Amino acid sequence: MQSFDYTLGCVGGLHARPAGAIVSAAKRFSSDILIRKLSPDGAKEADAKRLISLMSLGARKGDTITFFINGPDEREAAERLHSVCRESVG
Amino acid sequence: MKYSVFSPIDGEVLSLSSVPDEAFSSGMLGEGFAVKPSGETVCAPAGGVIGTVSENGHAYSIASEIGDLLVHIGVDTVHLEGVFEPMVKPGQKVAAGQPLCRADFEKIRAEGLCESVILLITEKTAPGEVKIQKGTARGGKDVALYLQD
Repeated sequence: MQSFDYTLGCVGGLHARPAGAIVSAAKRFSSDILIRKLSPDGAKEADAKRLISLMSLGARKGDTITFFINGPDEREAAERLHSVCRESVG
Repeated sequence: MKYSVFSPIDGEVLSLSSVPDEAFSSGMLGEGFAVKPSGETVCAPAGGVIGTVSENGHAYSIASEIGDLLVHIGVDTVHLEGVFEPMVKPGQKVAAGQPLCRADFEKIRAEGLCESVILLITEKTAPGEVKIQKGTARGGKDVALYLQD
């Protein structure tokens, strides 16, 4: 299991384009990839390989999301997703 | 046609390549089409259950028998406020053609943004090849996409 946190800097939060960048990167790996967002009314989880699941997190600018990656290629997936967050999500 | 999707709005059905944003035009987010709108009411392109409604009302997801559908109004419209009037809530069941939202396309154009209404199948669960029926269509009434066996 690999995990890392990322704090969203992009205006508009995790909307279609940034969420899509995560999904298209996540789909290249066979590991299960889950993203969790903590909020005052509890934790929400999303499947990183499903666009509308990610968008339904309603993650906004300033929110921290946590990636949990579990599977045979978890290490490469974590590295790739971390760089996608920095380069394409913002 | 066993599986089909209506145009979500009155207008001209175009291919995704007409959208001036690579995330949509490249097909990265899913297969689908864009509609250059002539009306103002955006309708459910298929029956199903509303998954998400974006905070400002510019994007809607629907779990349908074809799979996950995303209706995205305009490009870079995530920042616009007071432009979209949602008429549905998450978890609500909708019939094909039921109004989802009223949008002020004049305001979108005035901001210099692309106002096309984009329909994507972000996760296809039904079998068949995606075919687009381009040209003039009535929102919620005319088929714009179907699956061919």
